[in-house]
Amino acid sequence: MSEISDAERRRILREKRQQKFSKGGASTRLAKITGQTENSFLSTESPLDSRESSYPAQETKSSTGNEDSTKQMDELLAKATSKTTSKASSPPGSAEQQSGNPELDLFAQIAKLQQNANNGTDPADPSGAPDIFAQLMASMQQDESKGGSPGATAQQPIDPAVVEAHNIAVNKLKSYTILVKWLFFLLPYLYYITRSARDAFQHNAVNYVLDKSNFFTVFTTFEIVALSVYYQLLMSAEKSHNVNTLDNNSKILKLVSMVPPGLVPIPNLRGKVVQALQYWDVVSMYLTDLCFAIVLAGFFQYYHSM
Amino acid sequence: MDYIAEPNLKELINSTTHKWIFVGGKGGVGKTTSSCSISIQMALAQPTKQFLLISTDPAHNLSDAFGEKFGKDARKVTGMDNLSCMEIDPSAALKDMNDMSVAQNDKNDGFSDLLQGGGLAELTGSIPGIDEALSFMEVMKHIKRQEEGEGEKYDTVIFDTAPTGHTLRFLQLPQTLSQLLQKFGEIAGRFGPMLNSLTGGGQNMDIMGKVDELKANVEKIREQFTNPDMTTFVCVCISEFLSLYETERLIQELMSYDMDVNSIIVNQLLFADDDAEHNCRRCQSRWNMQKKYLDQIGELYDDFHVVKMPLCAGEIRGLNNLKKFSQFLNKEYDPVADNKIIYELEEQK
Repeated sequence: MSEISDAERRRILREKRQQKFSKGGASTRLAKITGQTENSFLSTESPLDSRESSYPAQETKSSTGNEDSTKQMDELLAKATSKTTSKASSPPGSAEQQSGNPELDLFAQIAKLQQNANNGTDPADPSGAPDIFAQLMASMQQDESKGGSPGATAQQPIDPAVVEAHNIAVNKLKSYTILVKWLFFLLPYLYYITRSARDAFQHNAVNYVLDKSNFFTVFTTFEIVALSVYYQLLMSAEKSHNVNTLDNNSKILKLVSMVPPGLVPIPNLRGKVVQALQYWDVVSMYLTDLCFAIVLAGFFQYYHSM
Repeated sequence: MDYIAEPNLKELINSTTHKWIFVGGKGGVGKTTSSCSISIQMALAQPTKQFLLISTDPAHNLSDAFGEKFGKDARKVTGMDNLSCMEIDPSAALKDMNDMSVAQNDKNDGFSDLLQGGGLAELTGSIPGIDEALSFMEVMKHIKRQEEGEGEKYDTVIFDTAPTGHTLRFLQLPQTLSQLLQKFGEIAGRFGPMLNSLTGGGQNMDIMGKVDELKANVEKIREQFTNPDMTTFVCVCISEFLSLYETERLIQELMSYDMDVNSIIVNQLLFADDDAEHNCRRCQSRWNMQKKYLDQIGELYDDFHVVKMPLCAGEIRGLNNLKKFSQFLNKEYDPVADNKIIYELEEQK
């Protein structure tokens, strides 16, 4: 058998080495090292594995163009988001939480501190003094318990799928409410009052309702009843899904939640904003129905004059 | 057929193809001693070739290791005709750039006034990663000089690198720059004529030409750095948990840059079992700890050249001491036969 050259021997050794580090072998090697010592907090995530998953083919690196760059960026962002989520949900101090990436580490640190805040103190702090995040959380909870809405207290993370299902149910409820209000009340009501059908009914109560001068009284009474029913149904839906509609959908509320307490000289800002948004919700529904009633009145006036 | 990597660096020391050799690892594991040792052994093994040892560590140790002052320009090591050393000094290099800018600008304009006080050096000196960028510029300068046949020609350049993080940033630079220049090229291709007119078209300044030239140089370096026959990385570590972990991560990072790494120097080993004269309780327990990690190193890196280097009784400073110590890179240390050498190191004044 012929002797192989030094270059060939080096190549064979190099391939053997690369084989050992490929297909998850790199992470296994790191885990093997960290497994030597108890309580190791070092990461076992390999840069080689992350490259394999980010760039499955070498061609990706050499390809150019906006589409490829966007795709790569999306992949990186998706990876960063999934890492952050997994870090936040995994227990503090687990090996997966340690990473070379400082931004992701920061998220993990915040999640860890928030978990510690529930206990009031940071176990890593020998003095037992509560950390800044714990203080922030505590002050926010205190602030809200003084006068904030019940839904404004510290939130537990809610499964996005549950929120989505709840939103679908709420939208359905809203649509049905509008449909019932418009089709079964406003449409016939406007038809009759524009037709001056008062004399057709002998009953005083009906005549009172169909009197044009009583339109706003009747309309507002109906709106109060309809909105009350709607809000009752909404609250029961929120209770059954355990989701607060405003908290999870309102961008304004999300922005207000980010304002640290004390920055704006309004006590219980979040509670006040919640109240204002609820009022706005009621007013907007009332105004929508009123607009519809005006349009219908105009249409029926034209129809009857024909 | 199973090929075994020898527990020495004989192959690298006698290599005629390697142009770039990087020596790196965690802080305090003996990177400078190892890079000096490799350079000396290579220079001794190949007397007809010229070697250059460059320190890219901002906290330079080369001068202290050899016991003579080196600066930003390559200078031969006293007693060795084919080994030169240089320490890249970011502040000095930036001062040079500053002075050049002053000379090129009109002395009466405001910008020159700012530069007169070393403004450019002060501004750029605080930029993160400037050391790595300057080291990279040095590599580019070296390649250009080689091509143009100017100055001293070096066959192999050995880098005494800074601790891991710095080094990885430095090694990432060709790839990052290459991608950056490609993107810049795409943009400049569209706005090239406009850019030329904005930057003084009267002087016929060809921005695209400059970018292309830079891109070609960077690409050349990238190709050379990823060619295992031209470039290799020697990892230095000590037989301890954190050092082993960082070495493994370094190797994986380097492999992710497609760089060749096949040698590991394990420094500061006590070999207490074979040293009957100096075998105290502390040495024994430390040696037992070292053996535990040595076993793991043997298991993890059976395809690597793992070189076990002894902890010497004295400091390894000065050419003679380095020569004595570095011989174990070429021929593995025998704890019984070579024991006396580690007590023979001359004390440096």
